[in-house]
Amino acid sequence: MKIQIDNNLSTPLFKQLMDQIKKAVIDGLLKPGDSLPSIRQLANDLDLNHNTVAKAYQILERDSVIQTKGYRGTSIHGDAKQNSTVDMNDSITTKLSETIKSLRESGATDSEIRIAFSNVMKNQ
Amino acid sequence: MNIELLLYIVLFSQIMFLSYYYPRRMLIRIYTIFKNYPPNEFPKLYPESIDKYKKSAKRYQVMNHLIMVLGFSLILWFYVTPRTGKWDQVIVFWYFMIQFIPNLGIELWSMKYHKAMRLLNQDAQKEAVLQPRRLTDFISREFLAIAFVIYVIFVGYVAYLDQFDYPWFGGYLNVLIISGTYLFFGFIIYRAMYGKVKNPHQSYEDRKIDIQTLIRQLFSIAIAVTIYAMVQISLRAFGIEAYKAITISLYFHVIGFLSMQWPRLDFINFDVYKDKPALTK
Repeated sequence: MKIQIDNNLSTPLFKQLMDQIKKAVIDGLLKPGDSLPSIRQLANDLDLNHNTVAKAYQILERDSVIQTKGYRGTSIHGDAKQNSTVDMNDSITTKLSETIKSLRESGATDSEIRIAFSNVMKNQ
Repeated sequence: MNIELLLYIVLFSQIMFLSYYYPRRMLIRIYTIFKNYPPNEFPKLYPESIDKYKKSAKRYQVMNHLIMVLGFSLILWFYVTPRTGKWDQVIVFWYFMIQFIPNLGIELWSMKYHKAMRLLNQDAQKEAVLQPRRLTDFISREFLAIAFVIYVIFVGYVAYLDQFDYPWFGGYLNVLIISGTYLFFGFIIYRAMYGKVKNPHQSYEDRKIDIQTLIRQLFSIAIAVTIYAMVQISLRAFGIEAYKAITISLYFHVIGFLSMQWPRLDFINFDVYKDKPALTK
């Protein structure tokens, strides 16, 4: 299965990588247990910085699309197909929208919400 | 057969093989590419002017001719000079080193060529295969096992000879040198498998063939060098050192033969070196 990265696109390179791996999982081109290349191999093949590939792999691992098992390397997670359909950005946006809506309904101003959000983020 | 005569025959064969036949095959390959894949149709294949490459090819040819003449002079010198034969092996070794110089030049030229290709490459799109590369994708387990077994036999042989305290015997230094060679080859293989792409236009399939060819060559050379080391040690142990110059020359024949296993040109995808068709409105 081939993967293609385009430097001219506005989409960040790590996102292009993630999206294509997820799409391959959804399309059935990559199945649970299938091995993926190491970060070094993929970064050198695509002439990318190792950190770019590492970031894509890290997020995919967080979303349980891929899994890393020591010397066995990286492979597709058992629940990858199901997890690939979940877009974390969409989920965050939805939850935040609901929270902001409820705060506004309770009388908070946008400025107060922004300050409170900023304080919470700083304290995390 | 007289050892001296045998040495002349083997050395003559080494000269013809490594300074005539090998470069001839290399040049035929280069000129076939120039002829069948010209710059106007395959511009990406020529990051610099073709005349520059033709000059380099000519230089390679002339250097090999000169080295061939040097080799014949060496045989003549062997014939007319009374020798003890003690230094024959060293002379044959250094002659091989000289024979190797034009090929080292080709290697350096190849590195510069690929660097120029990468600098000129403006493709924004990069492609890779989502599949890990493993050593066994390129070489059979049996071949790996043979290389390992020969190495173990070599270590055992050195350990066996070590108990006799031969004055000339380097002991485990022999193991260290051969192990160092294996490690160096391992490093080259690792770089070929996981390192940066040298040729940005090459198809993945062709790259796999290149990696496979290199790995098979290096494993074959590693086996050859181990067997050669055992032969050299044995010749000294059995007191027939007079054959050392002949065996080293035969060993260089094997190295030359193994290095000549290039991928077939008609199997290479040259379409990747064509310009992409311009977009029409």
